[in-house]
Amino acid sequence: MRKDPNIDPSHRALKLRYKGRISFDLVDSMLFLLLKQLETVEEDINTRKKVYSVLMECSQNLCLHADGRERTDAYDAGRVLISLNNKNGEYKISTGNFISNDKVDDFKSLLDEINDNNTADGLKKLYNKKLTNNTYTSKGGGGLGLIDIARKSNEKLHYTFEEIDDTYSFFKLKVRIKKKVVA
Amino acid sequence: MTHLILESTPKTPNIAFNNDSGIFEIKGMSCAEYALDFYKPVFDWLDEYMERPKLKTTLNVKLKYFNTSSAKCILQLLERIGKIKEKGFEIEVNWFYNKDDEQMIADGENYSVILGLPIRLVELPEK
Repeated sequence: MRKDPNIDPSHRALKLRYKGRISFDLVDSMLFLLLKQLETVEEDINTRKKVYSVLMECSQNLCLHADGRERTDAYDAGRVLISLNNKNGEYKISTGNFISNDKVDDFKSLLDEINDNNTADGLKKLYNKKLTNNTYTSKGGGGLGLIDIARKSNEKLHYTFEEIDDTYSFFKLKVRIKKKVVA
Repeated sequence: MTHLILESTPKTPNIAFNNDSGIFEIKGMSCAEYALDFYKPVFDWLDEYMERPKLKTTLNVKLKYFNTSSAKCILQLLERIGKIKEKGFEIEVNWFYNKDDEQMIADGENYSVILGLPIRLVELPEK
């Protein structure tokens, strides 16, 4: 990999940004690149694993659930946003995607349930509850991804819904992972 | 029945389940989006094995990373090992982790608790 002269190596900056349509193949490439970079910039195995797994769960969720593959003159509902950076001692992962308005309420309930249980113990119980129920969602994800993201982040999930029109809203999620301070 | 050998891929683990020795190993990455598609044949093989298991069955889990889709499948895999134990056969589950990988340790302990299954946590030697 060529060194970017604009990056100060002592800052060990990590940056990833994507805007466009998403596919599992694209997610695979992104995650592969991220893993390589994480191994060089992040010494703590636990932080590496958290960041990697949050990006994985976010990206795979986008592939599985991002609605709407139609393009209109106004927008392409199949486009997503993904960004990751590490600054000021923490990693920030953000995603954005279109979601059908008829799915917003149920999804909000799930997010609120996760945030209402936002203690290590509460999330663990919620995680285990979903882990052991014998259903898979129709999208095959098992419903666990968001709970796992919240557990790795160790704080509430920050999200917004913005109504675009009668059909779609735009959902944004922000996740923070603080770097572990090595004593 | 034949052994179950599945070569690893970037997103799915190496599976080596030996029907003669009763030693089963799962190793590598488990990150497929629809993990059940990968694990279903593994479950089918195990269901057949369970009809006439060896006196002792050993499962060695050496996963570097697994996503939430896989987490459910791993639970179901461990449940089957638990059923072998319930039938009165001996089982051993070894859950390997890299040094300092707190998440992997916690995951192994969690499965042990929620399934009531004895799981040995084993630290992998540093490379």
